[in-house]
Amino acid sequence: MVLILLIGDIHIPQRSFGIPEQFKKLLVPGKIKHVLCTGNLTSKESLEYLKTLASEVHVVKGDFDDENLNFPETKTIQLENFKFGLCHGHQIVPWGDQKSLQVLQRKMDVDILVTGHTHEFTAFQLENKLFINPGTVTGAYSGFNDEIEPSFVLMDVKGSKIITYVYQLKDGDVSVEKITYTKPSEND
Amino acid sequence: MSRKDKTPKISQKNQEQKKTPTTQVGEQTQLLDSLKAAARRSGFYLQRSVQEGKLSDSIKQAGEMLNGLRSSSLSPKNYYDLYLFVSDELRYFGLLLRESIKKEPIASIIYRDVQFTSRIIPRLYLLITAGAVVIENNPKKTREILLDLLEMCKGVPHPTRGLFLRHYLSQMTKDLLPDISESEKGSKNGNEKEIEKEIEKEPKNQKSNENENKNEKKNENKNVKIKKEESKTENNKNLQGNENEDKKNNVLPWMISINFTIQNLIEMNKLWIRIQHQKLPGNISKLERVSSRIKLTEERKDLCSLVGTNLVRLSQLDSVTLEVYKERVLPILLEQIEQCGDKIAQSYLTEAIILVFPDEYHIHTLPDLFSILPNLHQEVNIKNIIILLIERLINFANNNPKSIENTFLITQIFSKGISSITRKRTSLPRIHLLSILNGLMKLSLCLHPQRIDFINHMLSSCVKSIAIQKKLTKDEINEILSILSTPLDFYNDLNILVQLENYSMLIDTLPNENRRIISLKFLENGLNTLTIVSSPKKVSKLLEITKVLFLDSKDSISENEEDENLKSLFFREQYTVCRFIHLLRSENIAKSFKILQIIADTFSSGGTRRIKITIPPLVFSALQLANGIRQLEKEKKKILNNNNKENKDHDNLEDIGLSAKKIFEFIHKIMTSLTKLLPLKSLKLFLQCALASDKCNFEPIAYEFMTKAILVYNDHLKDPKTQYQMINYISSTLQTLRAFHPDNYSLLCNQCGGYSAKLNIAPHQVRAIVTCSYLFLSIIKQPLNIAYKEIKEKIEIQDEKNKNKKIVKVEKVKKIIEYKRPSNEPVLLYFIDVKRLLGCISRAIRVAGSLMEPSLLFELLIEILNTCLYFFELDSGAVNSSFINTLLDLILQKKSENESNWKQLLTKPIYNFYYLTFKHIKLCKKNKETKRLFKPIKIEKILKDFLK
Repeated sequence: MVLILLIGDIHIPQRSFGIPEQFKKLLVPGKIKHVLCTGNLTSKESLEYLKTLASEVHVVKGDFDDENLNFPETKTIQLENFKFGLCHGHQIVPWGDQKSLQVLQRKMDVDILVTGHTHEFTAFQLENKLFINPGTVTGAYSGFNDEIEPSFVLMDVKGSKIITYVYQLKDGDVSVEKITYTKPSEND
Repeated sequence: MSRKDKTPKISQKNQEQKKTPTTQVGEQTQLLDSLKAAARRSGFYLQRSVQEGKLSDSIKQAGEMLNGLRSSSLSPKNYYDLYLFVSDELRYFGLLLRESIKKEPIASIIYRDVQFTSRIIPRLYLLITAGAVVIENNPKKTREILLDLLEMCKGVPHPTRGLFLRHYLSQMTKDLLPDISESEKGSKNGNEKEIEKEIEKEPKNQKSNENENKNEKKNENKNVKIKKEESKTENNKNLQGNENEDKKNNVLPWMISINFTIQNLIEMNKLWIRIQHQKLPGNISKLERVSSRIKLTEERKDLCSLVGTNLVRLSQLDSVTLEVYKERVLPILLEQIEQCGDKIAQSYLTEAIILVFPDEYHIHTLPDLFSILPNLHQEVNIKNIIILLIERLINFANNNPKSIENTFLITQIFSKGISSITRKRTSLPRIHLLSILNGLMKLSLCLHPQRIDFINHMLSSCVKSIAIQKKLTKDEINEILSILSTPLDFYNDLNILVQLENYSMLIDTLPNENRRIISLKFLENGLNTLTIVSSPKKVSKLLEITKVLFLDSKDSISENEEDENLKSLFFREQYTVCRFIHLLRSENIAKSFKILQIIADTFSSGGTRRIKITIPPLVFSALQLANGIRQLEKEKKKILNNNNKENKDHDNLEDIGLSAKKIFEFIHKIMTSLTKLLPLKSLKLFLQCALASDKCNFEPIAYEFMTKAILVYNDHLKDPKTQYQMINYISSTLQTLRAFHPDNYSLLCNQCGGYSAKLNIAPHQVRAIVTCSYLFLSIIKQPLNIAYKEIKEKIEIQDEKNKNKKIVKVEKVKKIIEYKRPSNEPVLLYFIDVKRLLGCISRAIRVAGSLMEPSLLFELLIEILNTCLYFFELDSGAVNSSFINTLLDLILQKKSENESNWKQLLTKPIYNFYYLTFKHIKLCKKNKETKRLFKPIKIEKILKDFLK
């Protein structure tokens, strides 16, 4: 069992003062093995924070991340039986479009594509591939999305099975949703 | 009520090195050793005599043993050593006395026998030992014997010897002092009727002799009654009066104890002080004389607990009720302290009183305590005394909430007391005054936190005390920092803190580096407690208090700071400032806007280095506010549509004369200085502004921001990679905008297309042009969007005017594939310009085709294929099946042209991308929903090629 945190669009300090206290209480060091961050940390303090949560922190560059932080535009990470693709998503046109995300998924040749940028949690399957956007953990403002709720995703990976827990903050309360995904066999 | 058993020690020890001439030390050790040896020898014989039960022998041996204590050559410390040994040995003698007295009542005889010991010191020690046994055996003699012993101790005027002798007296009698009974503890407020009853029932210390008790009781009863009648006069009597033989029978037993202890305390204190003034040997040098004095002072301080024992004794007496303490104990003690004039004794005794007696007593006697403080020796550390008292009271108040009545009075007494001290004691160091004020502030916060005016007054006193004198010392700075932190840590609410008018005045007295520390702490407090400050006035004050963080001043960190620590501190500060401004907002739009303007004003004087960091978050705060206004207007329209005019809960935007337009003007203004400083960041921010103003349907504003972004691109970006990334970013932003008139939209598209075509690196060019193709086919996700409706109208007008020119109008409803939005709403598509879309694709293919490197060519062609499939799958007609087929053929053709080095050139990722795209087409041909659409797509050749 491997616990993976999907988190992103943090935007501290430009758009937010910090991660909600309710989330901070849940995000404790020592349990999470990998952090997959979709970018827009926008400060080295945010990166330092992620590094306190897990030893393996994978970050890609968001549109508001400083050039000198040197994050890659995309990254693939093999975890258990899954190949994860990580990309912020502002490079995809149209933004957040499912079919365009699918093109990126084919290009990166991944089982699970994790992107951000829209500040809205989404999870869907297309042609047996999993697409996840963990949303924004701080509930940061976005220019093209009105109803923003802070969210992040925890993934429990066991062999070919993934249980996804979605944490969302709605009116000050944390709601958790569970989504199960199993990797289909390759013979088709 | 807690009563301390431990005798208080002198709190501040003199840290000076004690230098003692070595010869003197040697002599002292020798002398002590020999005296101890002698005492041990006598002690041995004493024990033997005791075992054999020989009383007169043991008196003799004990007397011998005590001879050592007659020495006047021992230092106080060594004398203490010997005293401890001897007084311990004396227990054996006491045992024998107790044994003997059981057999026959010979107490008086012993008492008399002992008196025949010729030397005064041994005789008095033995008399005290015997006296204790007699009282134990016959409590009715308590008063007589105690007074007798007290009187006899006067016969030893030598300070050290007298002090120890009296300490022995105090030790031996400690369990014999009459007190009110155990069960009486409950009613401690000196209700004399209650006391009387208790004494009638079972007078204490009369357990041993039942027969005598009856007579005693009668006497006691009589005494009590007489006492009661004369209680008023008795109240005014001190020990001197009580010693008067005639009045002897009128004294309550517990009064004997109090008077005895106080009297002994006074005498011991006098002796203790006199140790200081002992004559030193005449044959020593001046230097030795000074060091001997220092040593003597130190040793004297070590003896403080001997005197303090008496205070502990008093505090342990149940009979010392609040009333008794206030009326009979404290006045005498304070008088003694004031009169003795000795700084060590004054400090020690005052602190000891505060420590040993219950805090409740102090609360009721504060004015008395304060009355002597200004008159104490100039070198007495008044600060320590007041701080000690404050700490005790705070502790008491915290442990007994609501038990203190009249809290204002307490603060008032302190305030008055402190000002009278500052008036009378000109030597009071500024640092001490600051510490006292800090303590007083803590007390005030503890007793009546709602009285902010008190705190403000104390801050003002701090400012005044600083204004008078020279530069602040390091300790003073630390004290001021502590003073500033006190209300901050207590209230944990910046909204309250800003009400302290004098807070910023006190901060301003500090050097810049310290102002920064406290200012940062201030902001961090807001962030830790997530305190929202929603009033513009309060925000102004807040920024005034912490202004050192915002303003460029002479000694703030310079632009080219070399010191890494200072540099990182600067960034930490600005990071905190940026986070903090998100807490400054109001539910009221107009107030929020006012707050933003205040922040912008403050930021504008921060110098370029700060502006670079602080303006972006301010822009986002403003955008968020614009967003809020838009939402509000949406609500308002809904309300108007529903003809619901009764709802007045929302801001009336017309009344405040504020629309989102003003916000965008504001942003425009604050960003002017940023463009040159941070072109790339400005470009991104302009795009954000375009997005926000587009949502508000402010076409001219959105157009202006897009133009600004493109202008920055044109003027400032030179790096090819950045150019490529940014033109893509501009295009994909434009792709989401919906407020534009098609003509304006088209103009912006032209700009994007033009800059894309100008990119220097071919693959960049191809990809940027591909991105542009998306500009000509847009999806509207939210059909209810205001912006959308406007577009629809515009498009229709456009349609009539240019019927032949453009394919506009097509409006189609289609379900999105697998994932459905929560509302399950349909997605609307509309075309803008199919020709130009295809033009982009063709141009991309053409540029890619010119590339010499086959692997890159394939990668780009497959990317273009995927884009075409995207348009094709939307079933919009923009890209048809024959276009796809042509592209597939082209890919195969290019592949066959390079067949020879295909395997080498085609690295694995590109091959996989190609294969996965093919697999996708295959799936779509099978899929029910897409089957029909994909039927004309021919993949047989590709399949064959793959199988090769």
